[in-house]
Amino acid sequence: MLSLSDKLKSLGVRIGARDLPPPRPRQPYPIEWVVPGRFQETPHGEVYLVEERHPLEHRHGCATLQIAPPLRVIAEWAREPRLADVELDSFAFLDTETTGLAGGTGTFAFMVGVGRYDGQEFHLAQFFMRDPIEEPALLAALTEFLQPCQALVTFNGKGFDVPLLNARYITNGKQSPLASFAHLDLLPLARRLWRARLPSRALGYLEEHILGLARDQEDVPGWVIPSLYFGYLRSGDARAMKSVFYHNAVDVLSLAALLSHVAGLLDDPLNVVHGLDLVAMGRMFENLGRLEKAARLYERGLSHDLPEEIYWDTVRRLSFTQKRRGNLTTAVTLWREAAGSGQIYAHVELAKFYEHQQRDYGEAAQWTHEALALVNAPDFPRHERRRWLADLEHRLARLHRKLGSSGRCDSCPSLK
Amino acid sequence: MSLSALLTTWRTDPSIASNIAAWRTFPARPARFAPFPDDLHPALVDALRARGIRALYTHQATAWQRAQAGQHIVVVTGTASGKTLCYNLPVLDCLLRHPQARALYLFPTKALAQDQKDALSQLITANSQSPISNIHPDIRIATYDGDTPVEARSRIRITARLVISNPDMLHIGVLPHHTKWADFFGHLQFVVIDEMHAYRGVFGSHVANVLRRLKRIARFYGASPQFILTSATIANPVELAERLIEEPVVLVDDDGAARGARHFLIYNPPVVNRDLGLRRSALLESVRLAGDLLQHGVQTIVFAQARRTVELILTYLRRSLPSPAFGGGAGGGGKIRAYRSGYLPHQRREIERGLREGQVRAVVATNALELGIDIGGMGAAVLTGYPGTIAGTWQQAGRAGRQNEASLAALVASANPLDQFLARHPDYFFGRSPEQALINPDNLLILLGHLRCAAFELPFRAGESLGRVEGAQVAEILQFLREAGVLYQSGDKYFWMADHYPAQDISLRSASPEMVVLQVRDGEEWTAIGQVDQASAFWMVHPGAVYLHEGRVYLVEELELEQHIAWLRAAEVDYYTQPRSETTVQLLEKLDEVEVQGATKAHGEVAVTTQVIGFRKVKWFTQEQLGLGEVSLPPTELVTTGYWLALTEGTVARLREQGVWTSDPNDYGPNWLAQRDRARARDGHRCQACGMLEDGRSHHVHHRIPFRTFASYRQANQLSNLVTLCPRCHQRVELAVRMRSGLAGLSFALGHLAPLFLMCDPGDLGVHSDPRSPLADGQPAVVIYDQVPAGIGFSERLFELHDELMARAYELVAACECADGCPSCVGPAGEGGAGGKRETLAILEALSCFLSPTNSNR
Repeated sequence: MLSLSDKLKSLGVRIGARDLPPPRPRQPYPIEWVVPGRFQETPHGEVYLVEERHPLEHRHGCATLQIAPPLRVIAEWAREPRLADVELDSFAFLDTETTGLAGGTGTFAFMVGVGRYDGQEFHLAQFFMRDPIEEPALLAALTEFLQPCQALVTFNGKGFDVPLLNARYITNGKQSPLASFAHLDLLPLARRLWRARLPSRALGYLEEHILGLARDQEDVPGWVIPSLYFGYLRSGDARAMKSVFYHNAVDVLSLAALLSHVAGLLDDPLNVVHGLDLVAMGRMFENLGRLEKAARLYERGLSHDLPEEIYWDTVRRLSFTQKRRGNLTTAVTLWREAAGSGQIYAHVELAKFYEHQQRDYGEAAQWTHEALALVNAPDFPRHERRRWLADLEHRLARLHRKLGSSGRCDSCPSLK
Repeated sequence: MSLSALLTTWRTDPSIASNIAAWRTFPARPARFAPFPDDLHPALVDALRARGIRALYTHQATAWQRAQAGQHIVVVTGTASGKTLCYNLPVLDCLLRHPQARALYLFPTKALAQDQKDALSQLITANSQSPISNIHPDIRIATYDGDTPVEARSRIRITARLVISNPDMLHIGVLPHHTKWADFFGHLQFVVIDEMHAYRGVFGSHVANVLRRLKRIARFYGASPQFILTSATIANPVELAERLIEEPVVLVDDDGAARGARHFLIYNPPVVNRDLGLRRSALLESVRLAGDLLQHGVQTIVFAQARRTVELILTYLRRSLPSPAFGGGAGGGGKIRAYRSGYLPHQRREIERGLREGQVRAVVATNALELGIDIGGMGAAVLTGYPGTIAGTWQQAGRAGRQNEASLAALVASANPLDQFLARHPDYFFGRSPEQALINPDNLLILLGHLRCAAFELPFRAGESLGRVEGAQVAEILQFLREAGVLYQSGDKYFWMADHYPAQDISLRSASPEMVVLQVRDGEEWTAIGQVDQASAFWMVHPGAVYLHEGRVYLVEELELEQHIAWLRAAEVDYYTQPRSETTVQLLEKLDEVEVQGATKAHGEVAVTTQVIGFRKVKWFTQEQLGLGEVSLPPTELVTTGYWLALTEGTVARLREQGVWTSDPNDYGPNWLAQRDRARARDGHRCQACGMLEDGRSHHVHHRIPFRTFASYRQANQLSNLVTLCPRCHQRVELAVRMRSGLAGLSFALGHLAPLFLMCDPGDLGVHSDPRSPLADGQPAVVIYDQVPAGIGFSERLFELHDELMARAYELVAACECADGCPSCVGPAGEGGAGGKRETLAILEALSCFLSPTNSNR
């Protein structure tokens, strides 16, 4: 009779992502020898806790940990008004290290790093479970640490860390404390700000290129972290966890530093040096309906050397912002510039301007004719043409009707 | 023109009437009603009244009572008997009375789920004039499956009171994320499992495990839902239901619905060649019957048992009818359509609509339609060949006659031995209670997969069981998973510790979850026309294969297994292809072995290696063989359970004695004498087996591939097919050939008869014979194995049924009218040599303990 294991193997069972050999039995090397910390007692047993305290002026790359609430623009942008009312002491910066990226209830957060302001200090706490059996203790300790907090700052926390922790609380039969928090996820904000300028919006990349921070040798790439933890569980040798603690600590500090940096940018956006950043913030302010600031940011952005596509897009955005603000003269100048480079929308806007504001139907018809000529050019993209054609022809017909009684269309052969 | 007129014609037309092996008429039946139950929520009573319903059918009332008593129930009543109310009433009543309560409906297909959602929504939120809208404005009903937009999902999880899904989605998308459904599971009151009979075999074994996981999760959140199942008629609905949900279940089967008169006939195509036992093809006879029906204005569904056959029937049927009336044409559209797996969803929806609305007059389908997608009532169903199970037959037949009018179902028997067996024993068909659906949730591989998923969902506690799998066995598997490094044990718990999502590895439907996409190349353009699963790809879309789709012919140019793409091009060829494969079966472990009459029977674990090595090109209509093609594809290995019988040495010796050599009476054609002499001269007048030189008498010249398998004597008598043998060696070679053909005949008969006992689909079994079998120390053996890795339990069952199987097989072969073997008993005269009927009978006589010894010395 085959053993179950042999039987399964004979059925071709190959299990696990990779067939790891069992780790060589090593001398256990406990976590407290690797990273100094203490065991925190909870009603569910103890959990290992590593703490750091940093002064607010602590340099993290080019930024510090200093944040000056209220974060009105960010709160508005994140559509989370509570963020604007939160005191500095009530923010929690949170990042988890997990046993996988697949999601689902079989993924554990074996380490939760969380930082909060405590007087003049930034208090970083890292909760670590030496064994999944300590999960209830870890969660209880986390709940306790978060007690004074009301707002959460994460990076991709809406998609990952928070649902994951919620799932952990639920599988342990506990209420998740995170459900009631105001949540600021810095990932979408970073996307908004740096989508055009940076090839990646990963936290590590932002640290390097926005905060100017270089991680040291100790760091590990995120994707190896689960296997390091599995290795530790099986061997009892915690030495590889050192780099994970480091990785997690830097992540949490970066959250605070990044927020500090972004809050600073939005506080005084016109001082930003990158044209693309100015434009990106212009769009943020435009979306928030703060048109004056948006217009100034666009104008400032246009004075920088922008890639052509973004340049014309910004001209368009600025022109509409000015139109909405009632600055038609400025808008017309912009449209003339854009029309000169063949932008159809600008022709249309000019036509509208001359027809409805100036009642100069001849001029309006002329702009419409020019646009039609452009649209009908053989190299004009077909789907774009379909989009414009009906509108332009309809407009021209109307203008011809109006012209019929009051004047002539100079550029229209049929009416000459 | 109408059905009754046509039936009269058929009764009197000898070319039809003489082929009707059985004609049963089931009279119309009036409805039996019961009043609305007193405890039914008044809003539901109003809703039913508003829909013109004044009372319940008796079975609906019984279902209500049982459900109210808190019992799990399984409802088994006819097609269109109002089964859905049996579960909708208790469920909606509960949702109305308990604002927190939730319910889950599981359907085997997404299409069915969509149908059901539409029907339920109508019941609940009909227009404002109807009192139905007052039932409850916020009993939200939602489908949740692979097609549900991601942005809608979280709202559904939180707000939907009634979620309609399928087992696959539950398995891969819901249970592994149960914390997002915490509220849903915490208040889960009802689980409805419709079309339960679909969950048999591998699929059923998987689903039983998914339900084990579902119950485990529900229990975690403090719920223990009540189950309501429905099924088509099978013999063991309660047993199947209880195996699926692992709870006691009560049966509700007193069908109170009205039914129109139904004619059921078994049609056996006439014998056209007694020597070869050839009957007219079931396919062509089906086309003929369907053609008659269509010309009489009867909307008809034609069932075929294979995707390939669907396309053939479609083509023939379109050609057989006048095209102005039926708008044929090779492409899509038209009044005659095909419907089978491999079609894209939008094509299917279009055909379904055409059927409901009546523009489509006939549809040719595999049993994909069997699953209850609402296409309205058909006037007739023509079944081309026995669908493999009696339940399947009744269900396909039930596609006709949903309305209160007479309808017809015709089963056209194919040459398949089981078809012929049933055509000759119609009472066996009508009388026998339909078969049992078997599942084996404890199949080690299936169980292992779901234990991984369950461990991912929630850590296992030491000693925890999973469904009926006891703690000790669960612990053993958990231990294995721990050693494999995916579980971590600590304290009394096993934690999932791997960066991996195990549900992704398991497809509930098939052993090979990979699909191969069929791409048609036309210059620079390419289009996907469908897909087949990877296991089928080897024999359906190997390079050189002719693939039919919607009546169009494609030639497979390339099969890229790594990319999962088959490249096809439209082609004008006058043939289709049949794959040829080679199989070996190796013994892994013998579990039991018993001496029986003339043989040893055994069962155990085996490794089956199969390789598609080539294909035959067969001309359309004439079935003429045009040639062979070769392909080079990798072998596939299946580790499974098998049952085999090995002939004892004594039996072999006795068969040798009986197989006396007689000179062959065949006429070998006008060039035979010349070719024979040329072969002898080529071989230097020496026996090519023992080397003996001719001594006065001429040696024999043997056809390597038997003469009668060739279409022309010229091909058969080619020198390359001839070899010189001395009379002694010739006899030995001929005996080996006969032994081989006897075994081949036996395995053919057994393989086709076994499903009748096992109540499985024929494709669930593999059969292989070997004159020197490694399973039996080189003795001749026939093995029947489960086509599922690790087996579903069929083999062990066959081992137990050995004696009856032999007796039935003898009956089948002995009663066949053919001269020397035919596709209805021992298989066509194949590469093995002559038909082999006599040899097969001799073996069966030796093995059959029901026959007296004198008989076996015939």
